[in-house]
Amino acid sequence: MSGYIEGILVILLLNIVFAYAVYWPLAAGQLNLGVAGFVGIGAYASAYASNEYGVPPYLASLGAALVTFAAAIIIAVPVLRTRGIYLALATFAFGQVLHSLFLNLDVVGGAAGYPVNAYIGIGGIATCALGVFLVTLFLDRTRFGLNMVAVHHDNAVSDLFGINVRLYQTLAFAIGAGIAGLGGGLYGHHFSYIEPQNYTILFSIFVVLFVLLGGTQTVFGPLLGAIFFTLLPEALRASEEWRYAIFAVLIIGTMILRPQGLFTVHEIRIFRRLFDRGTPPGRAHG
Amino acid sequence: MADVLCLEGISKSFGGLEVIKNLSFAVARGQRTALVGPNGAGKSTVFNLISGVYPVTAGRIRVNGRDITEVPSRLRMRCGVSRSFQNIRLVPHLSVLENVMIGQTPRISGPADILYPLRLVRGSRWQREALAALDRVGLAEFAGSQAHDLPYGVQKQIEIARALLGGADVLLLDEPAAGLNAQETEDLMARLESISGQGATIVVVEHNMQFVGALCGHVIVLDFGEKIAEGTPAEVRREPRVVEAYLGVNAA
Repeated sequence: MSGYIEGILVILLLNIVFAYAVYWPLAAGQLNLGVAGFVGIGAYASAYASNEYGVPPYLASLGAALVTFAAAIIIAVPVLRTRGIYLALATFAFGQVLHSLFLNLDVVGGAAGYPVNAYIGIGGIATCALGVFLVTLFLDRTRFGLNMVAVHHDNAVSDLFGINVRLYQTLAFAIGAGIAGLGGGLYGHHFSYIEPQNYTILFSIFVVLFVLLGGTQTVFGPLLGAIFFTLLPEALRASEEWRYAIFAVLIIGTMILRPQGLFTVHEIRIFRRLFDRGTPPGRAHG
Repeated sequence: MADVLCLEGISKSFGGLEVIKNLSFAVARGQRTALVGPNGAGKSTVFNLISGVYPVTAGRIRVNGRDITEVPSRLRMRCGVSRSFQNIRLVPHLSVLENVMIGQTPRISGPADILYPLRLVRGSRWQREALAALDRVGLAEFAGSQAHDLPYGVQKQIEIARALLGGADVLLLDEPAAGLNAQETEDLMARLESISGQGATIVVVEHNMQFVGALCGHVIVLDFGEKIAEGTPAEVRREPRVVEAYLGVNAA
C-alpha cells in the first residue's frame, strides 16, 4: 500500500470513529459541538498515560474512552439541562474551555504540543473503527436503540411509556464522548504528536457536518458521510484550485436534495426489498 | 375493591384558572366508560392528570386501590394505566411493529431485556407479542409499513395497540374514533368490545355520541371542568344540565 493511500485510509477510519462520536448524541436529539473537547481529553489522557506510565497504547486509548465517558456523565448534569440551540451553545462553550485548558496545561506541553512515543498503526485503528461501528449497529438493533429513537422523537410520550428520558439522553451523550475519547487516543498514538490546535470548534463542526449530511436516521448514515467527505476532496484533487468550491456546491446540493441525509430509512427499505424475497410477517410491506 | 380507577376530589388549576373542579368518579373493572362534554370541558386534561402529564392541584387518584397521585408519570403505566393521544404521537419513520414495541417498555426488567436485539431477531417473543397486539386491533397486515405512510384512522388504532402492550388494566383512549369512517368505526367498536371482554377497563374521550351510546354503559359528562351528569347513556341524555351544556339554555 502506498504511503498516500494509507494516509487517506487512516484519516477515513479516524473520521468514521469521530462520526459515531457525534452520531450518538444526535440520535438522542442533541447537537454536540464540543466533540473536539472530548477528543482532546482522550488524546491527552492516553498520551500522558503511555508516555509517563508506560501504559500500552491500546490500553491507554480504551482507558481514555472510559475517562471521557465518565467525564461526559458529569458534564451532562449541567449541559443537558439545556435544549436545542442552547444545548449546542453549551457544548460549544465546553469545547472552548477545554481548548484553552490544553493551551495552558504545561505538563502536556501547552501551546507547543505534546509528542507521543508509542505508536498505533493502521491495523489497530481499523480494528477500533470496526468495533465502534459494530457496537453502534448492535445497540441500534436492541430495545436500547429503539427507545433512543423514541426519546429523540417525543420526550413526553417516551416518558409516559416508561422510558427514563434523562438517563437515555445522558447515556447517548456519554457514549458519544467515550467514542470521541477513543478516537483521540488513536489519533495521538498514530500521528505521534498532538497540539491544542487540533481540537478546535472547526473540528467539531466538520464532523457534525458530515454526519448530518450522511444522515442520522440510520446507523449507516455517519459511515457514508465519513467516507463521502474524506474521499471526495481527494477525488477532486485533479482540479486543485476549484476543489473546495466544487466540494461546497456538492454539500449545498446534498442539503437541498437530501435534507434527511444521504442514507435514510427509505434506502434501508429499498435494500430490504431487493435482498429479502422471502418476506416473514412484520417485514413484508414497504 | 371492584373499582379499578378512582378519582377523589380532583382539582387542577393552571395559574388562576381552575380547569377541573372537585371531580370524583369511579370506574369498575371491565366497565366501558365515556368521558364526554363540549370542547374545553377538560376531558383531555383529566387523562393528562391520570397519566401524570400534569400534577393535580388537589385530590387523589387510585388505580387498583393504590394511590398513584404522587407516582411520577414514567412509572404510572406500571401501576396499571395506559393511554393513547388525541393527536397522533407515533414515530413516523419507524415501522408500525417498532412503534408498538415501544409500548412494551413498562414490562422490561433488567439489562438483558434492554440489550436484547429485538430489531434484529425475527420472530422473537417481543415481536410475536407485538404482532398479536396489532392483530387484536386488526392491523397485523401493516406491521412492516412505516407509520407515516398510513391513513390517520389507522395510525390512531396503532396507538391503541401500543397502549395495549404495556399490560395495563385501564386503557385511556383519547378520541379513538376521530377520523374513522362508518365502517371503521363499527370495526373499532367490535374490537374495543372484545378487548374489554378480555378483562381490560376502557375509558374513552369521544365526541361521537352514537359511538359512545353503543360502546359504553357508563357516561360521565363534564362541562367547564365540573361533572354535570353521570349514568347510562340514556340517563345522561335526559339530564337538563346536559342538554343545556350542549344546546344552550333556551333548548333546556
